[in-house]
This record gives sequence, structure tokens and C-alpha cells, in this order.
Amino acid sequence: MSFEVHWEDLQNDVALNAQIRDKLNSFFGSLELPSYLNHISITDFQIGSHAPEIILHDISEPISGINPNPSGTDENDLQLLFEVKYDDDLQLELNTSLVLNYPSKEFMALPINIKVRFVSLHILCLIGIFNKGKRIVFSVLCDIEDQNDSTRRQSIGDLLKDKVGSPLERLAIIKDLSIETEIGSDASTNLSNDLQINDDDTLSELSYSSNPNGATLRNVDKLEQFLVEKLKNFLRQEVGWPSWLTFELDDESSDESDEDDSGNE
Amino acid sequence: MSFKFNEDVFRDNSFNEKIKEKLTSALNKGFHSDSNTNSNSNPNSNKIDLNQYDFNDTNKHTEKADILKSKIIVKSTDFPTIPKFEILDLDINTQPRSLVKGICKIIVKDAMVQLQTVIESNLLLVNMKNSPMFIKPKLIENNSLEIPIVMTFSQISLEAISNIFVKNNSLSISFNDVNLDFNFDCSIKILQNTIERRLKDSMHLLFKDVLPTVLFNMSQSWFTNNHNNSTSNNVNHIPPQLSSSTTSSGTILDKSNVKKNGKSSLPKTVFDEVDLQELSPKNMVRLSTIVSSRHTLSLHGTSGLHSMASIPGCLEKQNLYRFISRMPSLSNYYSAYRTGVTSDNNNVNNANNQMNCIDSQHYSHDNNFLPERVLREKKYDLNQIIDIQNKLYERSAADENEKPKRRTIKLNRKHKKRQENIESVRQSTPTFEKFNLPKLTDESKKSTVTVNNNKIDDEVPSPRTNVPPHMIFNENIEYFTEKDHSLLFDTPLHTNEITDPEKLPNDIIRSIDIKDIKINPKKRINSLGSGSKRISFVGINNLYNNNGWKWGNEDNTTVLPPPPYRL
Repeated sequence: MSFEVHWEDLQNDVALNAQIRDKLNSFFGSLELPSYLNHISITDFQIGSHAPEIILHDISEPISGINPNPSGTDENDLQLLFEVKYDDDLQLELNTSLVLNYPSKEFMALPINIKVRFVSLHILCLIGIFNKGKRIVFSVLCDIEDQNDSTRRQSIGDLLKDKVGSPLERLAIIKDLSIETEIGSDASTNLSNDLQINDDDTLSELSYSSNPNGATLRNVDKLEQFLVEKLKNFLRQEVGWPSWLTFELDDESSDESDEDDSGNE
Repeated sequence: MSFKFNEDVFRDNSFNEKIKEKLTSALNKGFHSDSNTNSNSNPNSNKIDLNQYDFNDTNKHTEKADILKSKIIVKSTDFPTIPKFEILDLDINTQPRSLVKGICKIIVKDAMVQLQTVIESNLLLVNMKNSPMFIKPKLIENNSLEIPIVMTFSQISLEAISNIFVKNNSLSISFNDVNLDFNFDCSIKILQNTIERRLKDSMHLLFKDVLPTVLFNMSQSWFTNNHNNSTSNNVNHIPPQLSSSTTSSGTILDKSNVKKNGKSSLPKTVFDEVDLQELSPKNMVRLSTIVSSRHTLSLHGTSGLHSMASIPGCLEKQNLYRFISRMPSLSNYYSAYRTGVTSDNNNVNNANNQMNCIDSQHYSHDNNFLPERVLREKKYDLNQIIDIQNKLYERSAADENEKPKRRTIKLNRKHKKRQENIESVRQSTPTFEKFNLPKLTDESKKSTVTVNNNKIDDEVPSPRTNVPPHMIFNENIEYFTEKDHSLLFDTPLHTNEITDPEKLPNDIIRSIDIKDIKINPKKRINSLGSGSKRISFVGINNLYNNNGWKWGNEDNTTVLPPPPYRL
């Protein structure tokens, strides 16, 4: 059973993009950043042009153990098995800067600009609803292979990239993420573009701009791979099975009940 | 790309003030301003040591000639133009170790530094302080003449290209192309040329040797200090003396002195965990055992479709692809449903023959994907998928203490505010809860998705919780021909005592004393977060560990004895 999402309505809603962006900004603003990062701000956010495909495969009883702190009423607990496919140009632009606080505060700063252009994922995920909707548990079970994945895999880009990770990496979650990075002060005009061949035959583009501060480095491949890998690892650790996210919806103001039990084997 | 310097700092005088203070204290580190060296005492030997002006040598003996009669005071500094620091190229490597390589260019123009000090100008001064009485001549005049001197370095321009390597715990810089030029003005004109020449000579050494060393040691102590002080909020602040600290991330060996770092902090050699791990003596012993047991000229390892190796518990390299193709992964388990471009080739893609033939198609992929057809045709088995993912997780969990994360986010409807339980993302996150997995369904009920609510408790395992190896992939495949499966199910796991000798299979060598056989209480594959790290061959543990032999080591991984002690 698949869901129909009226994406066009969402897409045309400019206010929605702005709202999501502000929410993300306030979230990042509330984070305690390490001292070498100055700020993280989202300058642009746009939902892509196509809706994700959501297919509900199964509604069943939750598997045992997925409900932390079960509290009695088990009859109405549900478990949904979802398939989500998203293959679209979500755009997100993130600005941050690395700072050196010696000898004085913000003595040297390196601005970094990251643009996410394209996200593709196809996952099977599990959602458990407990306690009459008060607790939702979400986890990503596995990736799903499309029909055309086996051809895509042999593309030149894949051969050039480093195959990191062990074979049979159990979860990738993000199949493809296209990132553009720009390191150095944001320059508006480009005077010349230099293509440089790196040691491992990847190309990175160096643009020299009229910026008085000097060169701006764009599309550093290695950095992009590094970021994508970090993001994949992060997602895999947080929501990839057997880890999961628990959302507690409280009607009253939440009491700080301790949710993490110390592990015992 | 370039760094942006904080312009305000340069515009007002605060930068200059700070630099003055720091330079002053740095230049006077080795200066002992005790009463022995003030102007009243008899000065020292005849040697004129113009190397005093060299910034490198701040450690001078008090016995030698101290031309410097007072501290070196930085009178003023000036940086009218903001220096530029550009990164020309950046290369980031995460494998095998995190390494960042960069090429940077630093440009400083029109800087000015002015130093002031007092020097001894009576070159005929004789130091008779420590000489014995009988050689002391009678001198009429032996007084010192101290002259203040002011040195001005103006129009300092520096243009250097440097390679920067950032590894785990340290920062190495090498300067390749240094253009340093300055105008030197000295209040004592006689000395001007000499000083200028010597300074320019030693600048070369400074960039080649001194600066890289100093930066390396400083970065090392800073990084390791950061590991120590988890609560320090002065992350970007140069740490104080660290000579006797140890760190959790490695071992530190103290070596020799280094200068110009404020205090004389000792450089350290920091060993990575990775370096030490590779030298495990246990592993070396095991490896040498296996190697020596394999000395044979026979070729029979390559024969047979089902054998992985002649030694049980081992995998021969030429059979690796077979092993990988039979590993429990979603793509292997559901390989029948994978349709590719190659369906028109004569590759066998039938559902039944999959596991029995060598299909290079299986080997070439390395992604653990669930084929889409499985979902479309509703042929999935949720428990099976969960089980496979669990197994892969355990296999890949490098750290024994790594537990799955169970983060909780509280969404408050009234306040519409999100409060996150932000736990530290380090591996010691104690978020594991007791987790009961469903049992694998029995052979006969394989097609239905049933959930058994058997509470599988770790401490008291029920006997029949082993997964029989052939259930894991496919009925047709067994890793090793096993004579007696019933042995698996009858042996309880939690016994620490000696097994019943009658239960052992018949062809066990009887010369080994029964008392030496111990069975380790093993955690089953099914339980999550179990502490022991096993040999990650699915099926091996169940086949052998229950009545397996302990061979030389007391930890949980068992290595089987070399032939002919086979079961």
C-alpha cells in the first residue's frame, strides 16, 4: 500500500522552506559547538521537486524487545514496516567556520561552505507505536536494491572512488549524496578555474577569485567523500538497526526520566 | 582557500601588545637574572658570544660570557598589513589513518619589530670569579661598560610555502620556499653588519629545523593534553608543562629538550592504539601455530565445492570468494531475487541452484541490499532480515563494548520545544538495554512470520537456543560435514564444569585428560551486545565450541588444534 504525497503543494510553499530552515538554524544555534567551530548556519534549504515514495508493507505486532520500558497495555501496540524511497534534489546550504582562538579570540578563521545537492536513499524501516501513540520507535532495517542498481555500480565514478568500509557493510542508508564544498572566504567572482589532478586521479577544482584574501578551494573531492562517509557512519550508528530512535510524546511537561539504562549484558 | 584574520585585532593595538609580551617572555626564558650577573659582580670569561642574539639559543650557561646584561625587551611591534595565510591544496585521507595534507602559503609584509637590551662592551673584561687565587693577576681596571642597544627590524617580509601534515596527534610542517627579507638597524653601528649577516644565516636554520620541531611538539602536547583534560574548556589555549603526563590514547616516551616553547616541555612519542594492537603476542602465537600446521605440499585444498579449508576453523585464501558468497547477507540470502543486466547471459539465476554453483556475480557485489523483488512479491521474512542484520552488526562491531545506540527524543506538545537527550557520542554510551530477540522460526514454519515471545535470558540459556548452522542460509549448504547434530542441542551452554565423557564423540583422542577439557560459557549469536568476540565464522562456534578444545589460550576464541587432532 503506497502513500500519495501531494508534493507539489509543499514545493510551492516558500514559507515552508523558510520555516524548516529557521527551525534547523535554531537547533544548530542551541548546540554547544566545539571551540574550533565558530557557528553553523543554514543559508538555504529547499525541498526537492519530487515526493518520496512511501510504501507501507506490513502492520503487525511489534517484535519483542523493541519497546523500552513496556508499561502494561500491550494490546494496541503496532509495528509498521515501511519502505521509503527518495531520490531527489534536496538542497541544503550550510555555512560554518573553523576558528583558531589563539592568541586572541577568533584570530584566524576559515569559512567553509557546504552545499548538499542531491540525496538518494531507498530504505526499509520499522516504526513501532506504543502506549497509544505516546512512544514511537524508529529504526532503519536495511537498504533496498533497485533493479538498476547493479548497472549503476559499475560506473566510472564508483571505480574511481575509494571503496571504504568492509565488504557487506550492513547498512548504507544514504545511497548517494552529492555535496559541494567551498573552503575559504566566499568569493563572488571567479577569475580563472584550475583543474588539478590529485594523486589518486580524482579531480579537484581550484578556483582563484578576485577575493583579496586569496584562493578559494572548491569541490575538494576528498573532503566531500570524507563528509559523506562521516554522515553515513553517524546515521548508521543512530538509526540503523540494531540502534533505534525513540520519540516520547508527552502531553504534560516532560519529567527528566532517565531513558538510558546502563547496559548489562 | 584562505584564512581570514580578525582585522580588528590587527587594527587596534591589542595584537601588538600581546605579541610584545609573548616575545619578551620567550626571548628571556634562559636568562637568569639572579644577583650573580648584575653589573656589580665580576663578569665572566673573555669569550664574546654573539650567538646570544640568535633566538635559538636561549639556554646559556651562567658561567659563560653574558654579553646580555639585561633582558631583551621588545619595544614595539607593528603589523600594518594583515598577514595572509592561504591554503593552496588540501588532501584528506581517512584510511588507513586520518591524515590531512595541505600546502599553505603565508605572506607577511611590512612588519616591524624593535628590541632593546643592554650589552657589555668591554671586551677585555676578565672573569676572575671562579679562578683560583694564585693565578689572578692584579688588574688596574676591570670594570664593565654596559651600553644599551636598540635593534630595529623593519620592512620584514616573509613569503613561505609550507607543506602541512596533520596526523592523529600531531602537526608537521616543512617549509619549502622561504623568502625572508628585512632591514636591520642597530644603534651601535659597528655591530650592524655583523649582526645582520649572522641573523640572516641563522634564519635559514630556523625555518628548516627549529620551527617544524617546535610546532610538532607543541601540537603533540596540545592534542594529548586535550585527551587528558576532558573537562578543560581552554581547548585552544596552549597547555602548560606536561612532562609527566600519560594519556589514554597512547603511550608517551619523554625524550630530549626543545626550546622556545615557553617552558622546557619534553617532546613525546605517542603510540597509536593501532600500532600496539598489531603486535599482540597471542595472535602471533596463533598465527605461527596455524602456519606450521599447514606445511604440506598437497593440493587438495582447491578441490571440492564445499570445503573451505583442510583445517577446520580456517579459511584458505583461494576459497575466500566462496566464503563471501555464502556469508549471511541480505543479498546472498535473497540472491534468487536479484535480477541484473546479466539475466540474459548464461549466468545461473535460478532460485534453486543458487548456492551450489560458483557465480561470479555474487562475488562482484559488496553491498548488503535487499532485492526489491522480495518486497514486491512479499517474500520477505522480517525475522530473517533482522537476524541477518544482527549478525552483520556483531561481525562488524570492532569494539567489544560497542553497543547499539538507543537515543530518546522527547517531544513536548505543549511547549513545542524539542529536548534532546544528547549523550556523548563516544563508544562508552551505556544505552544498551536487555533485548529479547525472537527465536528463529523452525524449519517447518519458515514461510510465516511468527513472533515468539520467548524471553531469552542471557544468564540462563535454554538448551535449544543454538541456531543449527544449516538453518542459517539454505538447507543445502553446510560448512563442514557434521556427524552428529544432536550433540549441539544436548550440550548446555552454561556449564563450566567438565562434560560428561560419554557425550563426546568417539573418535576423540583419548590420551588427553578429561580434566583438561573446559567448556567456556559462550554467549549465543542471537543475543545482542554479548561481550565476547568470537571467530566470526557463522556456524563454526556452534559446531565446535561446545565440545571444542581449548588450545593454549584462555580467552574465548578457540583455535582448534592442528591435524591430526580432528573431530
